Amino acid sequence: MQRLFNIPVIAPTKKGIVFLCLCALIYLSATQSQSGLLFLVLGIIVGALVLNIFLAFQLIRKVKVDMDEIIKATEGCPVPSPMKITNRSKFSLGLIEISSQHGILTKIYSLPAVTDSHVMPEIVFPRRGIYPLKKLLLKSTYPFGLVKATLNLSGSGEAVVFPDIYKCLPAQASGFEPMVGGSCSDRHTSPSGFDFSGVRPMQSGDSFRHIHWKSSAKGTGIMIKEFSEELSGRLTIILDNRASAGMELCDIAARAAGSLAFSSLDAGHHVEMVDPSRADTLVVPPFSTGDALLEFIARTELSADFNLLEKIKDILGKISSRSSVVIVAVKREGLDEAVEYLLSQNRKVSLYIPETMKEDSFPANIKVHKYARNTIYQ
Amino acid sequence: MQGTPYTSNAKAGTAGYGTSGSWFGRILLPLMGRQREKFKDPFYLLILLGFISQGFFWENAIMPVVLAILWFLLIHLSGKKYAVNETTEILILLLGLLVSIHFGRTAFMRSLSFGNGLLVLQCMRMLRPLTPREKCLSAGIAIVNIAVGSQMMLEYSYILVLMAALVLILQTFHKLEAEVCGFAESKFLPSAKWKEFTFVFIAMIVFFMIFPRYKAFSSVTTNLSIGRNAPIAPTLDPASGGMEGSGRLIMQISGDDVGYLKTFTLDTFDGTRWNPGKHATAYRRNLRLEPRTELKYRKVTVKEITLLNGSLPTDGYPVALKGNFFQDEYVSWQGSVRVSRYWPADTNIYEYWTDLTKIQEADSRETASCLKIPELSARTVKFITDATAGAVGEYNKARALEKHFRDNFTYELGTYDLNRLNPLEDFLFNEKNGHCERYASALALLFRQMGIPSRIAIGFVPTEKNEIGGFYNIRDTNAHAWTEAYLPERGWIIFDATPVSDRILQRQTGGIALTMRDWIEFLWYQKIVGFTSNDQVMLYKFTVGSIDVATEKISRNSGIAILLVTGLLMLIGAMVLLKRYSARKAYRLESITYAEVYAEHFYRDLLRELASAGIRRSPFETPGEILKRASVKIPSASPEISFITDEFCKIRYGGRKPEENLHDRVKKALYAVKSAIRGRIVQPQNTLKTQKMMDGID
Repeated sequence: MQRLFNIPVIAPTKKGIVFLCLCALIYLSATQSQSGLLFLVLGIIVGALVLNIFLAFQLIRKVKVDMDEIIKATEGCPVPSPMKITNRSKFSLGLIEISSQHGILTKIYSLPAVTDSHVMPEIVFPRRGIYPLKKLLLKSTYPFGLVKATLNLSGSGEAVVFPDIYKCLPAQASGFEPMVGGSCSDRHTSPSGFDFSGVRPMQSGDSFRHIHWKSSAKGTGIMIKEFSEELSGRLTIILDNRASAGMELCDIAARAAGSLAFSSLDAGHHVEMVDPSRADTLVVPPFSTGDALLEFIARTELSADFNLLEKIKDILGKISSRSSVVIVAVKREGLDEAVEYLLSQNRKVSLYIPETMKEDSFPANIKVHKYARNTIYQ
Repeated sequence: MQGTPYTSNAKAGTAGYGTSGSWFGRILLPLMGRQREKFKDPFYLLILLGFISQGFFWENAIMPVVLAILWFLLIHLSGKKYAVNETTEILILLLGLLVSIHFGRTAFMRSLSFGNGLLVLQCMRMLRPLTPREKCLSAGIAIVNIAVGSQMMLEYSYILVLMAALVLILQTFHKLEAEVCGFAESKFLPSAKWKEFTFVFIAMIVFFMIFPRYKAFSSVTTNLSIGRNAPIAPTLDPASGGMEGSGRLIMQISGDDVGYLKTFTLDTFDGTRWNPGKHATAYRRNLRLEPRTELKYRKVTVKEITLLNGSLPTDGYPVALKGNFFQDEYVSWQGSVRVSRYWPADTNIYEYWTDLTKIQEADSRETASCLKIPELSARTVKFITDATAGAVGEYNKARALEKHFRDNFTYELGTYDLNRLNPLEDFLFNEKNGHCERYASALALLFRQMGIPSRIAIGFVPTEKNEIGGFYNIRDTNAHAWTEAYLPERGWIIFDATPVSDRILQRQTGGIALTMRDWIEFLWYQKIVGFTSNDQVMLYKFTVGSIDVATEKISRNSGIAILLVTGLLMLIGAMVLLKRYSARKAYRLESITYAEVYAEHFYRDLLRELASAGIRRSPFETPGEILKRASVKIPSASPEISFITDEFCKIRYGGRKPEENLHDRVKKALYAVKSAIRGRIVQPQNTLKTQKMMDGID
């Protein structure tokens, strides 16, 4: 982090002001005194003040803060990536507080001379989103709290806070195609895979490595192993983020969407995530880390009310024609029309609604699920 | 026979100094109760220092001890529910302040007594948990109490209080700030932070030397009655027992052959008490400003001018006198030096020249007033006759009587009061012991019976001499009463019937310890307690003068000066570069080589011990895997093995520097592992096979 071109501020704290007033009182008494010993008592406090100022000045000049440009965290959880604080001074420093406009990042009790310290930030971001960390405040009152040194540090970093996803069953997919590792299977077989489904006589073109020797040894001829074909499907998750439903409900919906996406990825499906407010789509191949997906959700902001049907019509033109559509809704307005439209386009539709929303008026041929804070009712 | 299960009480990193078995553990720890941590807390220790310092206000050695015991009790009780609510606290504080300002002879002393009222608040606050703000205020009150102590305790032993204050104030400031910042543990020890403590110590000295000192205008005192605030009261009741003073320093006097320092005399006896008499402060003669060289010179620095109340103690026959804190000085009818007005100066000094050989004459009126006594009994007259038997002449008889008291009576303070109907006979024939006032009174009465005009002189006897500074410390314990008798052709002569006691024995001289003590005392009083604005000005002039002289010399020899300065700068530059290079090299060595080598050494020791228990490291086995195996096989030493493994990994792979006390902790942990392994090996025979199978020993 770089230092802004501004002057560091070294100022007395409240405690420092109180003890300065005490010094003034003692000095006034000294004017009446016959001995000079009061100046020695005064000297201790003044010496402490001078040392505090000196070390505060050292801190401002010699402490360096390094952190990643982009910090990734999960809502409600501590930030997992450490910050590096370097003390380039010959003096040990401490009582350091580094804070941002979102809260205190970390506090360090003691930093020995000429050392690096890797500390985990203490800040916990309460909800998903993007938190800019362009300005940090470095503050210290080391060692006596009589004087405070503060300095603004500038940077170009941000904290990307992911939603707190949870385990759930994958959403309904469609457009299955063979893929190694896919968790779905059909009546088709293939020579390789995980799920053994039987043997068949050898045909030309079969590899010798696939011979099932036990069966072949029975004398009925050379038999080749068969496995169930591994299939993977496609699904598109549309995250309804209309702000009028309330920030809390939108966040719960985002968690549900993220959890569904992750479980679908783990099941080996292709997942497309769509933000209808900006018609952005993100295609995530199966078995990927999902960071990009979580980041997508984190960057999805609440939007003004929109016509869900119109948005879905736009989206359908951009997504795979074989994928099923999963709607994670927060409001009832426009939902029925959107579902009807999707059904008319021969799409498989799954609907995820808040647990407080009634599900009775939806068509019977679509799957309706309910989601809550940390769970999805299947 | 079953083997004794081995348990290891050693825990890596703990002190383990046998607290349960030592006298400290047996006696003091139970007394401390549950609040043990508070007895080590620098905040509460600072409050204790404040209590003790405020106790000096009472000018005796008992109050500081009482307040220390009070502090102990308050901490002991603080865990229990004795706290008062805030309103009650404020009311008690106001009451304490109102009461406290009535103590003290002068306005300044009453302002110091304010600290007693604040002490009441401290006591109440010690009974309950405090918020950070309240702790800050309490720390401020403790500093005020320490400041009060600095005004009452002028001895060089105050250095100890000052050093304790330096350490505790800094530690308290740090601890309070760490608590505010949310850090539970805080350590600011002098051993670890010696640079910071040294810096503050030097800053304290520099501040003391250079910060400007201004003396506020002090009121002039003119209403002076004889000995109003004196250590010995201006009326003497020989029947009452005397009490010892607190040892408070009143003044310091330098000079050769300093004798009895008279402050005032009592010449009127009404049968019960001695009084100064009607003409006690009457003018007798002037004092010159120009001394003669053959006179004895004395210089007196007065610390407590209020205790003298217009009298300037002098010995001999003062001829000339001058000082900086009084006006209109003269010699009174009684022969003591008086002033008509005084005020406190930066340092109260007076100088006088005295003639020790001059015969001090008296006129008939004076002698007549010193002969009046009530009628004494025949028994008393016989006492005089017996005591002076064999002596010829008034002077010899007087000396014989004086000697009789010294040889046959004893000195004792705090004796019972004498019989009020006839205290003299009770003293002469029954008690035969007492303090100096009784002896002075008895001798004066007996002299008057013998027809010798006599009176009682009150003052000080110098006994405590500082050989380095050449001065005597005069304390309130040096206050003394003696008899002055007028003999023709000899004038007024001093007679002291008080038997010699340990208290007034001459101080021994010589010896290294005494010399060092004298040095410390000399430096303390002359350079610290007595350091005034004049001394600051002199220091400034000396510094400026030295710079001027040096500058002039340099300008006269400019060529050489330039060469010298250039050479000096080059030398300093070379030293700085060398130091940086060495530090960088040492850091590299230290950080890369030393720490890792050290870590490998102690880990190798651990592996050696484990190998002796049959746990040998195989190639490519990680420290974590060895730890897991060892923990299963030697569970009693598992914490120690885990500790050593952790520290090794942190230093060797984590790049962390070893902590200061790591060596001791690792050593203890290794010892514990060794003991655990040896404890396992010494097994009874019938379980040996089973144990070997468990250990996998071939």
